[in-house]
Amino acid sequence: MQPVKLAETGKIYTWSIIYRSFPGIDTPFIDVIVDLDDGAHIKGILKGVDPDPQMDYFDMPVQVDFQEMIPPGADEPYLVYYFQPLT
Amino acid sequence: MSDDVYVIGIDMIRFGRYPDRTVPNLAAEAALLALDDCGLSIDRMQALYCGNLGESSGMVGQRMLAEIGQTGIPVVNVANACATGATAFRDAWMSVKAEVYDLVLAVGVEQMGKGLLGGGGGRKVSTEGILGSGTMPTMFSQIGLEHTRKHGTTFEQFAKVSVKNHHHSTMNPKSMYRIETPLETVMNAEMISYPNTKLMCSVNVDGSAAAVLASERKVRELGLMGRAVKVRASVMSSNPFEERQLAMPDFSSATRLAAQQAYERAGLGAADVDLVELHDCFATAEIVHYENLGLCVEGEAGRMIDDGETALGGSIPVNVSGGLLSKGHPLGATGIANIYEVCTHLRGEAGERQVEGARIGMTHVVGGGPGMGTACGIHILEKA
Repeated sequence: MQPVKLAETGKIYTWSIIYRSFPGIDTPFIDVIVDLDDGAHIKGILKGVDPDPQMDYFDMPVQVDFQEMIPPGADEPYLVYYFQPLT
Repeated sequence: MSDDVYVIGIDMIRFGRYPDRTVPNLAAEAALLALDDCGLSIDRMQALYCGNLGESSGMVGQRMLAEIGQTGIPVVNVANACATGATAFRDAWMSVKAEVYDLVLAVGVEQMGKGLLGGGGGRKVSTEGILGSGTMPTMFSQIGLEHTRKHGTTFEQFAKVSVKNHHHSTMNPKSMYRIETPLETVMNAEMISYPNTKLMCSVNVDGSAAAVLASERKVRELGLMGRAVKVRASVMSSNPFEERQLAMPDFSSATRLAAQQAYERAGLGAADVDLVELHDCFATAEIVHYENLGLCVEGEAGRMIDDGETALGGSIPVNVSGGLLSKGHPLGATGIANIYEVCTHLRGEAGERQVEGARIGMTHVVGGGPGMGTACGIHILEKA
């Protein structure tokens, strides 16, 4: 397998705000499907804006960022990506 | 004599919660009901096709026969996401169509817990809440909002689907729930994944349904043509490649592919169909499938629900059983239960929810999940 570097910016294609997830998962959060500027498509979480169903998130320009998070049920942090509004 | 295949016996148990029973026992009840419906016994069946997801490695079909008659017939146990029941039915249909057998039994059964489904297949570390959400409500909410993006469909329009299907279910004694849910109730219910509230998510229930299929020669020999229902088309599909498939599972292209083939094989168009039972696993899904199944042109689904065209009494009633949203969605049983519903209307036996003069009906199920794929099954049925 060859590592591939994806574009760091893109636009939101579709989204949802998750109010109820599996037990132990913090909600609400915004789940977005992003069309990256290089043509790839990826699912992730949008941070840096309040979850608001009245908002029109379609086509919002976003950029990727990274942080360490501990997945539910795991005991070690993983380096994970997320999206935030393009600055 | 044609090579047409007919449904001669079909029935389902009332969907509900039966925690004290076993999966084979629920299957057995539906099988006996379907056999009673055509006045035959298990010893006449030449093969069994059994659909179940939760115990898919547990030989549910054989264990069911242990309860109602171990006649030594071949048993095929199938699992195919939410298309499991339709897959069992279609395998039964194929075996008769191919003239391997002329009298066979198909059963679909599921026993479910409460709560959210989803999460994706086989991951060692959960990415829920980290890289997004893999719940089923989230997947179908994003598909709904994709429709909003393209056509401006509103939260209220999605909610109207749930109002309609819950209303239909008040007329169906085999539905899990039989409660009216006005628009405000649906829209103010707990939000699960916007825009689907709790009342816009299908109900996880236990249930079973079964059908007896026969060749035309056998139907005539048994003198059962009077209540028989002809299978005009039996089609399945999997997900053709879609651009965003790694980011969001796609249920539309498989549905469109199967629908197109089903209409072709039946020699019919959507305008010929008198009622449809489609896969309303979420209210957003029903809207999308109006267009996928060709019930309206692109972008007209929102208007269709606004105008009441898909309600009982409308031009093309959809999910008069109450649908998965209210009747319930026992995964492996759903694909035969919706065939039961259509057959009941074609036979003129649907009571107060009867679609008057129904001659042609369509059933649709589609399932899958993130990182897996899609299975779709469509049947077109005609009063014999």
